[in-house]
Amino acid sequence: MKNYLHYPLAILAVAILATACSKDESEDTIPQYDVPATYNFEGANYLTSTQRVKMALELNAYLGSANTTDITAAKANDYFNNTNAPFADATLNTSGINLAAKTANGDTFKGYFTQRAANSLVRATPAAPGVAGFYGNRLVDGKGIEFNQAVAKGMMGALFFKEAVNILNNVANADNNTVTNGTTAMQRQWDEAFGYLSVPNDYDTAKVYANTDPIRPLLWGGYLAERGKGIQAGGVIFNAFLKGRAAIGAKDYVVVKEQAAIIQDKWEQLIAAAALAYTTIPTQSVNVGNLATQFHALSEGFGFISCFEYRSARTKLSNADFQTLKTIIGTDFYILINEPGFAKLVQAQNILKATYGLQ
Amino acid sequence: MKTDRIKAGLLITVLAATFFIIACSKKSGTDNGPVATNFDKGAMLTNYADNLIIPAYTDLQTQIAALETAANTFLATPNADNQLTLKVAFRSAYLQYQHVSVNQFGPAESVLLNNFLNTFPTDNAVIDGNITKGTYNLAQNSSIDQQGFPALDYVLFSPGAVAKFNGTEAAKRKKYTEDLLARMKTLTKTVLDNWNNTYRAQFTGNTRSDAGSPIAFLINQFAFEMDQMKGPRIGWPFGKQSGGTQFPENTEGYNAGISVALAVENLTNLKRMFTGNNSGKGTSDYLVALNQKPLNDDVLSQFDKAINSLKAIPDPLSTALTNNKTEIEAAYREVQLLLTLIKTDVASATGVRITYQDTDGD
Repeated sequence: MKNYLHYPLAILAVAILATACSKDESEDTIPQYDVPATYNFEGANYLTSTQRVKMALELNAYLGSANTTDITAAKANDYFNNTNAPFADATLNTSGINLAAKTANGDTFKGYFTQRAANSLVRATPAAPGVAGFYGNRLVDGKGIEFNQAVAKGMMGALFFKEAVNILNNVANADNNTVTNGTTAMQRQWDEAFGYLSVPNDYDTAKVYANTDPIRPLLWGGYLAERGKGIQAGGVIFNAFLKGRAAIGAKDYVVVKEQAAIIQDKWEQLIAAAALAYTTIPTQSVNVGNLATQFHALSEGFGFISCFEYRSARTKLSNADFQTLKTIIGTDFYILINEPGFAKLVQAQNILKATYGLQ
Repeated sequence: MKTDRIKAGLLITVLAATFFIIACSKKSGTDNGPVATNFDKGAMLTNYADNLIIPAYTDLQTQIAALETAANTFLATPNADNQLTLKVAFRSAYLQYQHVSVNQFGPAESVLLNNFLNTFPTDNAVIDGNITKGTYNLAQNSSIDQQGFPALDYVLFSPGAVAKFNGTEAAKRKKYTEDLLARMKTLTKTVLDNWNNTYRAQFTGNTRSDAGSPIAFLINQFAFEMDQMKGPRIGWPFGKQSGGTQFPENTEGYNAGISVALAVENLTNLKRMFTGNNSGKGTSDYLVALNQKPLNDDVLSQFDKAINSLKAIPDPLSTALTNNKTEIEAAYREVQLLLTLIKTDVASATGVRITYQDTDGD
C-alpha cells in the first residue's frame, strides 16, 4: 500500500498542474488522462490546413509586391483558385486543394485583387484624398486603404477563423469510434481546426520566434503574440487545443465542448484585441500626421473587423455593434484620421473595450 | 526505499504547488514592476503631479497669456520695436512649452497637445493659403502643421513679417494670429483642467509599471523626448537621415533663431523630470532604490555631458549647421549615448516596455 502512495500524489500534482490556472471547471468531471505539452498526438494530421496557410502567405506576398511591380488580378486569382501552378512551393500546386473553396465572400476578395492590381499601376504617384498612390512604403487607394491588408486580415477571418469556428461548433458530434489511418473523424476535424491556428506543435508563448524560423507561428499564430499577449491568447488557445484533443481520446465530450468554446471565445477576443490596436494606433500622438502608419493600421483594422462576421453563436458582440464597427471602419480613412477627437475611431475603441473586456 | 518514494511523491506535489504559485502570480509581479525596498512610488508620482507637471502647465498658461498680450500690442501697431518685444514673450513661452513637452500622455495625449502646439516644420504654403482664404479648421488633425508655436514663428518672425502685417492681407493675418493664440490657450486650459479635475488622482493612484501606467508613461516619454532630440530637433536638420543633406529651415523655432535654446531647455527640463527636481522622489531615486545606483550615476553624468555639448552650439542652429559641425557632431553623440541609457538600460531596470514605436512587422 505504502509502495504506491506516491502515485496518487503524483496524479494529484498533475491534476493541479492541469487545472490550477482555470477556475471554471469542477475537478470531478475530468477523467484522468494526460494532457501533453505539445501537439504530438498519435496520427495527428492537419496538412491541408497548413497548406492553405502557405497558400494564403504566397497570395499575400504577391499582393504585397504591388508596391514595387505591376500585378494582375488574374494572377492573384490563380493563387486564390490554385490554377496555372502559381505557387513557388510546388507541393501546393499539386495539393488538390485551394483557398477559394473554403473562403466565404470570395467575390469580395476578388474585388480587392482587382483594386490592388489597379493601385499597383499608380505606385509611383503620391497619394492624396481621392487619389490612389503611395505614402512612404504604403500603397493605398483614394480612401486610404491598402487592399493587400484587407485580403490578408480579411481572409484570416473568412477562411481560417470561420473554418475553425464551424469545425469546433460540430466537432463533438463527429464519429469518434471508427479509426481510419490511426485517427477518428472527430480527431481529424479537431486537428484541422488546430492547423488553422498555424503554430508549431511545440508552441511556446515565451519564445520569440525569428521571422526566419521555418517552424514559426504564421498568420493567426503570429497574432497570438503580436496582439494577443495582453489577453494570454497564445497559452489559452494552444492549451485548449491540447486538452480538447486529449479529451477526444478519452471520449470526454464535456471537456471537448468546453475546450472548443474556450478556443472560439479567446480567438474572437484576439480579433477584438487586434481591431482595438489598429483603431488606436492611428489616434496616437506619435503617429498623427504619419499617414503611412495611420492608413496601414486602419487597413489592418478593416480586415480584422471583417473577421467578426464569422464569430460563434456565443459571441458577446451584438449585431448592432458589429454593424457600427463595420460602418466606422468602412468610412473614408481621411475622414477618420482628421476628425477632431477621432470621434468615430474612439467610438469603435469603446465598443471593443466594453464588449471584450479590453483595455 | 519506501520512504524515498513517499518523499518523491510529496516532492512532486510540493513542486507542482510551487509551480502553481509561481505560474499564477508571475503576471501581477511583472505589472507591479521590480521590487524597490523602502521606496514610495505613490509619493514619487504625487511629486511629479504636484511639483512638476501641473505647475509646468500652469506656467505655460501664464506664459501664453503674456504672449497674447504682447501679440495684441504688436497686432495693434505692427512695427519692429513691438515685434522685438513680442519675440521675447514668444521665446519665453516656447521655452516653457519645453517643460510640458515630455508630458504627452493622459490629458495631453487625448487632445494631441504636442501635435497641435509643436509640429515642425510647418506647411508654410498652406498657412499662407489659410490667411488668404480666411477659412480653415484648426481643430482638424490634418491641420497640425498650420498652428502652434511653429506657425506663430513663421507668421510673426519670418522675413518681411512686419511689412505683411501692414500690407493688403493685414486684417486676415491678424485674425489668423489671434486664432492661433486662442487655440493654444484652449488646448492648454483643457489639459490643465483635466489634470486638476480628474487625471491627477488616476496618475498618483496607479503605481504599476505595465503599458499604460504612469511610470511606464514617464519612462517612455523620457526616451521619446530623447528620440526627438536625436531626430527632428538636431539630427534631421543636420542631415543625419539624409546622407548629409541639411534642412536648416526644418529646425525648431527657425525664424526666431532659438533652436539651440529650446533644445537646451528641453534637455535641462528632462533632467529635472528624471531627478524629480532633486526632491528624493524622482525616477532617479527609484533607480537607486532598485539597486541601480551605478546606472543612475551614469545617466546623471550623461545628462550633464549632453546638456553642455548642446550649449556649445551657438544659435541660430540654422547657420551653426554649416559653421559648427564639430560641436553638433559632438552633441549628437552625447545625445545618442543618453538616449541609449534611458531607452534601454533605465527602461529595463524599471521593468518598463518601450511602446511608442509599434513593431508591426507587415
